[in-house]
Amino acid sequence: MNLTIMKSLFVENSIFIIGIFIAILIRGFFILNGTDTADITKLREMGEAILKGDNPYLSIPYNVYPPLALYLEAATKIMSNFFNIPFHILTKIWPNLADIAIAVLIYKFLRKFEVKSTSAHLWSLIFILNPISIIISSVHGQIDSITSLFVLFSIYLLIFYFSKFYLLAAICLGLAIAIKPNPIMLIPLFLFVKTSFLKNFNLNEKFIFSGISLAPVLVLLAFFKEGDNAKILESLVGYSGVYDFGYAAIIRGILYQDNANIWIPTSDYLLNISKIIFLLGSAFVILIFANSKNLIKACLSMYLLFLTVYFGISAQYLSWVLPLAVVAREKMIIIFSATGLFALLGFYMFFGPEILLGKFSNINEYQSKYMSIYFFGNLLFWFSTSWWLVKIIKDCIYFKKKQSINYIKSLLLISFHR
Amino acid sequence: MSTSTIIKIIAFLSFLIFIFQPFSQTLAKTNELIGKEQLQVLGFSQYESVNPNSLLYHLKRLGEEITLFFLFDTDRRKKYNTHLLTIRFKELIYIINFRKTGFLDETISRYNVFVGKVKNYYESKEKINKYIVILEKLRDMYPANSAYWLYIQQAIDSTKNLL
Repeated sequence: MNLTIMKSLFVENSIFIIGIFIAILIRGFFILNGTDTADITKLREMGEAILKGDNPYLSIPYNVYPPLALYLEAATKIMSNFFNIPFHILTKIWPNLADIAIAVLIYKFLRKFEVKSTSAHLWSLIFILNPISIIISSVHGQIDSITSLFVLFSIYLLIFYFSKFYLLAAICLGLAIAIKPNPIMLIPLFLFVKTSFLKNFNLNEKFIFSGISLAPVLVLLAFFKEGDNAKILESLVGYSGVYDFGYAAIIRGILYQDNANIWIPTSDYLLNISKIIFLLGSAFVILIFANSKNLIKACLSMYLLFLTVYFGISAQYLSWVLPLAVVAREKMIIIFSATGLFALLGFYMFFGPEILLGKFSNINEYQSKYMSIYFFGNLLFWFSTSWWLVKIIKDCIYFKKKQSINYIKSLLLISFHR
Repeated sequence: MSTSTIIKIIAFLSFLIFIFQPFSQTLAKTNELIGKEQLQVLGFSQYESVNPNSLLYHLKRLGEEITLFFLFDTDRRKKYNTHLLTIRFKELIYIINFRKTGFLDETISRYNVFVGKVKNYYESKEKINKYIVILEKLRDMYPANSAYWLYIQQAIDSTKNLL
């Protein structure tokens, strides 16, 4: 083999390997210096409830995750006791492993799209070294990247191996939903957006796909069926998020100036309105992307729509966008990441500095100087998310228009020649 | 990113910063404890345009710290710190008078810090007496020995150190 080619191959891969290594160092630093606080405590309590033999949907007063997440945290608790490793360290390993797997999957995805190897590596590194991804997985300790991994793998199978593996794609989506329910909003897109250039779902396949996607969560929930089923359902699906980001945070910042109030009095009303707006908006997104061949951008648009119009946005929801945006090679991810980071820093410093700073925390919460960062960060974040959403939809409409014009032109040419 | 896009972004951010000035002031719709005319009779001039409850307040503080950093002459630094004490006092009066009690603790702490900074060279006893009179008047608008009354009393006690 030519020495130059060998050298360049080594250099290409070494960039990726070095990037992953740096990502592991950064994430490892945050993991090892974290503490058992906030959502980590809740995850531990969910796991402990399972091990005690309780039904967490009935015994825990706050909203609880889908069953697979509970079993994961129960297993983490067992491992924590066995290996004598603190729970708050062990539980963060899963989402970080998922992030590394996503980075590798992104690379494979892009190579399938015939993107050059160096470029594919760099895009993967944009994900694995992304500050939002690092904060959510390593600092906050949320498990959303495990869900994102399954969603991305499902999309990968549908696009490149539709005929062989569409059932496996459904199972992957189902596993994602059994950990965190957010991929449910993507199911209509999976059914109506063309995934493969060769084939798409017929009606039977759509029913089977939908059924299998929802099967894991429903089957696992059956194990928790006892007594008050309404309460179980309410605990699982009643969670509407906390209004920590987006335009809710902007409203919060404005109201804060009145007398340091951090709660919005009309939050329930605004939440309900936002649910209706989101449903209408998602119908619009499905309509726009129906029969297009861009499942990735369609899913990305759905998540961006959610971040833009929904009232109850929590910190971890920001991470949903990242893998899809990187696979779509959207440059807006840079602005999204910068503004998202600004918003996240303001959020943690104001509401929970111990989450961000871990063992090094010696800052009191609710200091007004951090409210300014929180406010302006979310203002910029919300505007960048809205702008991005509008841009993608505009491009899709323009592309569809162009396609229709070309189609009409070709019809006219054919009829002219006849 | 083109130059025109960068210019648009900067113009937009500047617009945001300027619209929040009147916005934060209009939020102070709660009744004043003492009317502005009555305060002026006691010697108070006018409120600051950006006060501790404003989201822009810490930008203002950052500007002050940067200005102070670049003052190398000792006399000019002393003069500037004295001027900042006046600003802190006006901010404190705004917070107390408009009952922004959520910001009272940090505003008084900040005021006390500046009193401490100028303690060794502050000369205008007449001004300090006016400050004490105004603070005592506002203090008495709160229930005696309540937490807010005690906070304002702290500010009065530290102001008396300047006499």
